[in-house]
Amino acid sequence: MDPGLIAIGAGLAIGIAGLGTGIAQQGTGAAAVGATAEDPKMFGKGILFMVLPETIVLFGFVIAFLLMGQMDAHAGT
Amino acid sequence: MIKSERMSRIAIVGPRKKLDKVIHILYELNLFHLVDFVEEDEEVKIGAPLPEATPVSHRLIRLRSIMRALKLDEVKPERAISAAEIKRTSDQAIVTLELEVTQKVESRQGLSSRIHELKRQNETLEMFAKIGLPLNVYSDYDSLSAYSGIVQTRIKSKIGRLGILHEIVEVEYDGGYAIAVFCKKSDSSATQEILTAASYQEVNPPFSSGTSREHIRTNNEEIMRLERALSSAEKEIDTLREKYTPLVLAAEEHYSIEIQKAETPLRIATTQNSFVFDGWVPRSAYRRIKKEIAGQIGDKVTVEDLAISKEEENEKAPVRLRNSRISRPFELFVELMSTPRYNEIDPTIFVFAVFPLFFGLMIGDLGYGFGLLLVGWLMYRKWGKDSDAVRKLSLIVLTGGIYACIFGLLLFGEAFGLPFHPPIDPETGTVLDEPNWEFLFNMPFHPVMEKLLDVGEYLVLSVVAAWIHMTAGLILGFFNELHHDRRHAIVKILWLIILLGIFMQMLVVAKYTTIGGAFYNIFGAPFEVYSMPFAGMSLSFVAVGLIVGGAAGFFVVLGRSGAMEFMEILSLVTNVISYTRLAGIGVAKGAMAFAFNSIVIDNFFDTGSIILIIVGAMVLILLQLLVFALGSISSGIQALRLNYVEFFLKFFKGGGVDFEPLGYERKYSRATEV
Repeated sequence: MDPGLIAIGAGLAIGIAGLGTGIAQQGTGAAAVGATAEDPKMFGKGILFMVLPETIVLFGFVIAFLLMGQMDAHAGT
Repeated sequence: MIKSERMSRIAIVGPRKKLDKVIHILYELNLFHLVDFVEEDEEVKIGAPLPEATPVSHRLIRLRSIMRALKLDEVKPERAISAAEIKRTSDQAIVTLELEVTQKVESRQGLSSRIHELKRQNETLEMFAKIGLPLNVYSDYDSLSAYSGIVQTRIKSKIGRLGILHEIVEVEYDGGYAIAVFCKKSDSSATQEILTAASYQEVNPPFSSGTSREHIRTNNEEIMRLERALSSAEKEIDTLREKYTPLVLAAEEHYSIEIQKAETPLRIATTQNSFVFDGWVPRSAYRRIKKEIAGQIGDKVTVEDLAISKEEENEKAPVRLRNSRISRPFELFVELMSTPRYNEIDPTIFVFAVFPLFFGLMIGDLGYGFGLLLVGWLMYRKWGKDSDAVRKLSLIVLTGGIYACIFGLLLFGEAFGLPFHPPIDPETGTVLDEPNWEFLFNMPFHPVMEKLLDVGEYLVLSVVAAWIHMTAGLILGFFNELHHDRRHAIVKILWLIILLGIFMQMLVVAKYTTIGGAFYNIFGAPFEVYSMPFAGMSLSFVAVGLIVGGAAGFFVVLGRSGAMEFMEILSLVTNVISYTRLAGIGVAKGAMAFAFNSIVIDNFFDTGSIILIIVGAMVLILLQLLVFALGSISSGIQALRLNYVEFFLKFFKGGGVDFEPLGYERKYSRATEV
C-alpha cells in the first residue's frame, strides 16, 4: 500500500478523534468554568469532568501511532 | 507528613460568668475547632450573644458606612494600631467622621451635580448661539408659533414650498441642523408635519432674555467657581481620608473580631448557669489548652478529653495538613481538588515530588526556567504577603522554574528554544546546520536528548513516568483501602499487575529506543521467547498473561461486580498514553520557539541591516514572550491534570472537613490584653 495513504489515514484518525473530543469538551468545559467561577474549590472537580472525553483523542492517537508503524513496513513498496 | 494531624475531641465546661474569658482564650490560642451545637431541649439551649455584641455591631455599621462614603481602598498602614488605642479613640473618631464626612460628601455631590447641570445648559446655549437670535424672540406671542430645536434633514426649502408666511433660520449643528421657525398659529399643523418628518427634537431656550453668548460666559464663570469649591471639598475629604484611614481600617478589623467573639455563644450549648464548648483540638495541643485555661481562669472551668471511638474520630475529625515548609505550598493543589479525609493519605508530598518534575520536563529550557524564576520571585514580592494562595503559587512557580532550568541545562541543552550547540540527527549522526548559541558562547553542556529530534525517546520517557507515577498511586490506594475494605485493597494489587502488563507490552514496541531498551532488558528480554507476532508487532505472552490474570482476579475477589472494574482496563491504557502529553507539550513548545527563532534569524538578523536587526530583536522578544506564556500555562495545567486525573483517582477520595479553629488574623490592628 502507498505509505502516503497510510499517512493520510493516520492524520484522519487523530484529526477526527480530536474534533470529537473538542465537541464533547465544549459542554463540560463551559460548565466547569461556570462552576469554578461560582466556587473556586470546584476547580479540581471541574478538571476531572472536563478531561473525560480526552479518552477519544487518545484512542485516535493510538491508531495513528500504529498506522505510522505500518508506514515503515510499506515504505518503498 | 503522610497523614493529617491527629485530633482529640474535647469539651470545655464552666459557669456562664466565665464564658467571655474562655472565648477570649480560645481565640488567642487559635487551636480549637468548634463543633456547632444544634440539638436544643428544655434544659440545654443555644447561648445568647455576649452583652457587648449590640454596641459593637452598631459601631461596625457606622464604620462601614464611613468606609463606603470615603471610598477607603485597602492600604498598607505603616503601623498597626493597638486594640487599646482603638477603644480609646474610635468612638470620638466615628462621631467626628460621621459629621464631617456626611456633610462633605453631600456638598461634594451637590457641587458636582450643579457643574454637570451648567455644562448641559451650555451645550443648549451653544445651539442657540449658532442660530444667533436673541433669546427673547422665542416666546410671548399671541398669534405666532415658534419652534426651536434640532432636525436631521434640511427643511428650509420644504417650508418655503408650503407658501405660507414664515421666518426660518437653519444652520448646521452636530451632525444635523439647528433651526428656529416662526409661523402663524393657523399654519402650525402643516409646519409641524414637515418638522416631524425631519425627526424634529424640540429644544427650548433656558433663558427668555439676553443673548446666548452672555449666558455662556456667566455659566463658565460659575463653573470655574464651583470647580474650585469642588476641588477644595475633594481635598478636605482626602485629608480626612489620609488622617483617619489607618484608624478606621484598624477599628473595623478589631470590631469585626470582637463581634465574632461576642456571637460565639450562638454556636455552643448553655444551660441557665453553665456552658459547654464541644470541639476538636490537635492532640499535641490538648495539654496546652488545658494549662492555659487553668492558668488564666482557675479550676472553675474544666477541659476534658471525650475519648471518642476510633470510628467516630475517623469519620468526623477535621483535617489539618502538616507538611514540611518546603512542600507546604503544594497543599494549594490538593485543596483545590478537595481536602483529604481524616484517615486518608495526604498526597501533598507526592504532588511536591512530581508536579515540578513534570512541569520542568515539559518546559525543559534554561531560558524559560530563568523566566519562571523571575515571575515567581516577582509574584512573591508583590502579592505574596497579602494572599496565602498567591504566596503558595509563587513558590510553586519557583520550584517549577528550578526544575525547568535543570532539565534545560542538563537534559535538553537549550535556552529560549535555541540549542547550545548545533543539533545532531540521531539517525544519521550528521551535525545539522541550524541556529544555536555557539555564536555567543560555548556552553560546556551537551544535550542528552535533542528535544525536537529524539521525539521517540521523549515519548518513551513519558510512558516510563506514567508507569512509575501510577504505580505509586495504586500503592497509596492499597494503603488507603487497607483500613477500610480488604477486598478493595486486593483490587489495587490486581490493578498494579495489569499496569505492569500494559507497561511490558508497551516496552516491546519501545525497545528500539535507548530508554525503552534499558527497561526492556529488565522487564521484557528475559521472557522474549514467549511471544508471537501480532498486528505488525510482537505480543508478549507474559504481558498478556498479567493483564488477563489481573482481569480474572477482579471476578474472583469481587464476584459479579468485578465486571465494573474489568471495563476500566481500557481506561488504564488511555491513562498511560495520556502521559505522552509530557512529550507532546514539550515538543510543541520547543518547535514553536524554534520556528519563531528561525523566522526572525532568517528574515531580520541575516540581512545585515541595522534597522532590520533592531526591529527583528523587538519582534523576537514579543514572540518569545508568547511562547513563554503559552508554554508555562499549558505545562502547568497539564502537569496538574496528570496529578489530578491519572494519579489522584487511583487512591484519593477527599471531602474532609477543614480544620478551622476559633481565631483571627489581624492586618491593621494589634491585640492588647484587656
